[in-house]
Amino acid sequence: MSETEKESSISIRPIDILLVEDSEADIVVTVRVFSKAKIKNRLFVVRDGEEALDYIYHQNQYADRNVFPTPHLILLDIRMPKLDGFGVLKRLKEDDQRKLIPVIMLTSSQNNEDVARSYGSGAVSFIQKPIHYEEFVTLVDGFNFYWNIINKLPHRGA
Amino acid sequence: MKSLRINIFYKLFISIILLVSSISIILSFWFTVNTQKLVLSELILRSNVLAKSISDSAVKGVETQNVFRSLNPLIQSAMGQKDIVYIHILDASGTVLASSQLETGTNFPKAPTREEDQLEVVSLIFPSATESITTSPTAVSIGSVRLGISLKHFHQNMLTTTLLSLLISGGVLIGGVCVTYVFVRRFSCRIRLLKEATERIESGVLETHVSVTRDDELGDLAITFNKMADALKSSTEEVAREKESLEERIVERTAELTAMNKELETFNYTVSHDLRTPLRAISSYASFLEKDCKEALNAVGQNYLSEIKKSVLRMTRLLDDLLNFSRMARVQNPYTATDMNQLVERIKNQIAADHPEKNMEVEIETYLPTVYCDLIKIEVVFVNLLGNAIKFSEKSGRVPKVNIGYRETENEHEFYVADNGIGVEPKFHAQIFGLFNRLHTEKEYEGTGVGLSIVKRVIEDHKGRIMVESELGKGAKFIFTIPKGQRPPERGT
Repeated sequence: MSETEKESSISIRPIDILLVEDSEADIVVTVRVFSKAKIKNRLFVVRDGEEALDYIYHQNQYADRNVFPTPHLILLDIRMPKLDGFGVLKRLKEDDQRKLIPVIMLTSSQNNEDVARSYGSGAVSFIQKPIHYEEFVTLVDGFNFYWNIINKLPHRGA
Repeated sequence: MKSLRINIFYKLFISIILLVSSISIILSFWFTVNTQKLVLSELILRSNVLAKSISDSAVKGVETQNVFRSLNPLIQSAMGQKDIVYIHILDASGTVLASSQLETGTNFPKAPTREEDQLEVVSLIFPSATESITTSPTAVSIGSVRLGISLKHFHQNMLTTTLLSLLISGGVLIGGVCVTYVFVRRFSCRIRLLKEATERIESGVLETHVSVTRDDELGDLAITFNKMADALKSSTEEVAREKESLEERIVERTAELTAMNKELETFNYTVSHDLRTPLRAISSYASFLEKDCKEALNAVGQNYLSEIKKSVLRMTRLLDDLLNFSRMARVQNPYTATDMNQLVERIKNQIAADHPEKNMEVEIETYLPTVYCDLIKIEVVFVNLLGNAIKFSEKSGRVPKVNIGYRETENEHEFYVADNGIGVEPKFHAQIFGLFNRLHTEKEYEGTGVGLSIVKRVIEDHKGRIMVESELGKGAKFIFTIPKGQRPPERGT
């Protein structure tokens, strides 16, 4: 069996990811990295913690669930204006409906306390954003492979 | 052995009582004895005078032998005197001429029986012609008068006197006891007040004062005591105020330090997070430029681009090293007994494995001891020193040769890492340990100038010292010490 046959035999339904990120440059880089990856996930972007909550609870401009579906996964930055990543994480984990959405911290922080606090608050993974684009590409390939193929997520229908 | 504790009150009381009673006993004894002597001698004197006057009166009667008309009446009248028991008038031969007891004409016994409490006085009778020379030893007496005196009254008197003196000394004693009791009682009461006041002060009641009742030494003591209490109180208050202000200052200083630490944390965070974000943007856009617009860039543009990417790499390294340095300063790992031999051997093998292309000799010259230290940080020290030693020996034209050794001093473990590299000019010895200080350009030797700063920081955290022995072109020897018997400092991570 050839490699291509093997790959096509697995039915892949790319997951919807919510990226919570305030840095415009980081958004551009992240969107580009995800768009260039082998597995094309849908990436929805919000720019601070409050917007993130609006999106998740389908409020304000994110009220249309068809345009803005509930994400299967959240990529959450820590340092953001208005409401920071920990604030968002806390709100989600207090909500019985939303607490099952896996939250992955994607941040520039190398701080051990941030790592500990993230896991303590219910994050399932902590990823430090690489500085160099090439590293980022490698990282996202691995990330997509893991979350789309290896890992089983809740609320995924069939 | 525990000596019996006697109250000062009883001590004083008993001593004064003993003194008073001994004085009164001695006095009354002396008084009694003296009185006895005095009364007795007076009695004897009186008897002698009486005997003499009888003998004088009896001269005529003896000469005339007129017993009845002259001597008997004399005896009768003399017997009326007090205490007279008997009177004998004898002639020269000892024959009784007249007597109140004996018969006339009998011979007076040579050794007459005498009653116990009687006294006999004898007065010789001299003839009237020789009266003027009665004292002359040549004069011959014509008779004698013997007077018996009863001592009964005398003894009775003496008994009365003795009793009286005993009574008086008893009275003195009782009076003395009472006065002494009152006096000593009052005295010891004042002392007890002082003692209690002292105890109150000892227990911390510094407001304690004693009342000054008398103007005497104890009164002075009370005044001095009150002054002392006041001084103690004010100095204690002073100390308390001092302590309070000290505590305030400590609190302030702690707050300042906490704030500074907080700022440093923020700084750390800024370095790790905020500086990385723009750096990532630069790096990423440089990559986009390279990937998306390669054709639009000429050779010069591509050269610029590669310089940008190099700078980004260097900036990344700087940020990483800076973070490493501050982490070294902040994080405290538990101290463990570390086998330095094992540690250095492992680092040596690691370096050899990481750079198989490098030709070098690393030798552990002496056996290294087991040291109580922060293993993780000391590992960094050896990694940095060995890394430097190799780095700065590579271009010297010789095969890099690194020697690691140990020397034990009285209080310290002393390690050294020596190389045969390019060496350091003595005037730069102090400078090389500074953060970001470098003696070479990036082109000559890559690095950020943080390695030796971290080494110094770690060694100083261990309360050790680090120094360098080197001259330009003659290799360098880094020596550092770790005190023996180390315990980790109390510090949160």
